[in-house]
Amino acid sequence: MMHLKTRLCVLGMTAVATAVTVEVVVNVLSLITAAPRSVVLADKRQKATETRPPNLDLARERPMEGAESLTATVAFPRGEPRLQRPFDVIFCLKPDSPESLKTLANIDMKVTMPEHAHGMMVVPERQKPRGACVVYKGLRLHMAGWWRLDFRSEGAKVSFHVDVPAS
Amino acid sequence: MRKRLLGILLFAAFGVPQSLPTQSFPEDTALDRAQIEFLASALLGAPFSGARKAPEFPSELASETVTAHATAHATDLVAKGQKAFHDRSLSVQNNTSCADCHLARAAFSSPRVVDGRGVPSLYGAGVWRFLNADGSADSLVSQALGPLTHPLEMGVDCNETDTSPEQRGEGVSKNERGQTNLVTDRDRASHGHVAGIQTHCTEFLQAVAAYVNTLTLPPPAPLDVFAQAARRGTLPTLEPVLSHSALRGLKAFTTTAQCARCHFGPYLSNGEFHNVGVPATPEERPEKAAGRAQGLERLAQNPFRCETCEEWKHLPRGRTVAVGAFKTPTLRELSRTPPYMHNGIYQSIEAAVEHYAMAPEAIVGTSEAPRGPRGERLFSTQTQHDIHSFLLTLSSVGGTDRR
Repeated sequence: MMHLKTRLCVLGMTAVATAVTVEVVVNVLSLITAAPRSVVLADKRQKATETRPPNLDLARERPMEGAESLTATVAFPRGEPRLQRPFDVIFCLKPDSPESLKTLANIDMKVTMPEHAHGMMVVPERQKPRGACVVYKGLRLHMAGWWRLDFRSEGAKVSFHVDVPAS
Repeated sequence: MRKRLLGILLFAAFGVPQSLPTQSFPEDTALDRAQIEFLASALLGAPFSGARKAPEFPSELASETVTAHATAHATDLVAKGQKAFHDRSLSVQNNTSCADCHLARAAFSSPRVVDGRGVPSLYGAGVWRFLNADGSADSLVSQALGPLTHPLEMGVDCNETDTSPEQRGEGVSKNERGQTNLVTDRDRASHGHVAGIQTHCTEFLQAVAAYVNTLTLPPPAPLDVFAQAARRGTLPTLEPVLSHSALRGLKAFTTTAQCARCHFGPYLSNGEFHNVGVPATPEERPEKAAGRAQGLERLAQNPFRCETCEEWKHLPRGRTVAVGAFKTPTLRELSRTPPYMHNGIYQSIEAAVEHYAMAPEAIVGTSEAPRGPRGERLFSTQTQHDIHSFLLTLSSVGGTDRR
């Protein structure tokens, strides 16, 4: 005759195994019965979201990761971004050097809302670099909350955060 | 004894339900600052950050220092528009007018679904930067062209055939690049003719747009009474207008359920486009599921669009972010405007709220609807009930409720 502890242990393991099996079967059935109709299929999977940092660093000057000799700055000539208002971004690198100019020439900006894993509903206009700065025009943040501006150029990258108030 | 103990343990492990319906009312009905701000923004007539910047007519015309003739023209245009809105003789089979789908008793929406699309309420239509669920119109004038010419609606053929504007002696304002300078609805109203469109159609669109633009404010709802009291700080003396369930629902709406991220402002809509994973209906043609992505291409074909507007330069044509995204609908008069979602897939408010509790994956593009941890429900069935109670407070008292 089995000891009570042993019985409970066996029972627990059986319950866990059953639960896992049921979950797998349910998930497979839901995939089959959902019969998704793909028309323009970009990415059906839920994109990975991020949790907002407890103390969002809103610094407007940061060193470039992967190019520590360069410091990046952002400025908003039309004022800090406000909800649903168009704004522009001036991204600069210092010191003004051949390295900064080369990095700037290939800089790419991506603006996302990390908690929701989506971007803006506009396509900003990137103007030609002037000196050690490049201007992006026509950004628009359509939701309140944490947005991140990621700048990448070959192996270098830097991110800036914007916290858009609800009103 | 051992068997009894085992039974207790099993019940504790598997027998306790995930959520228990509350039997008590919340003791703390205090609203935090974010909720007070939300209520202030939701008041009818409150300023709205997502509103269009181009001046609307006729109110804009009436408010400026203009000639009496212009003011009279605006007033006359609204009257003509109201008549045209109800006139079935304009349709190809003399059996359809705007009012047949946009029913006044249903907050100017309809229980019908037309070509896979629900009929949106017209309240506040003049404030939006883009209209239609897919954003395929950028003004009231450009929007009305669709129903006027759609074969399942009024079916009017507005295409010009023989005469050219030059032959008729009418001018169309164009810029140096040959683009039509229809920047504002006033521009659209003042033009007697737009290339490719018969004049009588243009006149109809201008008049109807002028009338629809006057449908700004729905009747006040219980939430407005509550919101006013919250703003004035007189809530403690206010007779109860929100049930405790509705109050819990308000709190959930602005916190755990995250509804207020998109549903805020006087029309409880930010007017933006989001993919929230709404399933397709059997009647919905596959290409229509593309939402904003398709809408932008339709807008590009609309002869009344604003080609020279700054916004046009930055629209996400061809971008995946627009795929499957549809415009946030207003929640005003919600109990009178079923079915719900852009394709009318949900017949009840409860079903629509359940959609957000479960947050299914998108059929196209990627859903941005928040999910609970480990893919579980974002909020409980009790919270779902409370949110439903709150949403009912967005409809004015009286009239016909169709929930």
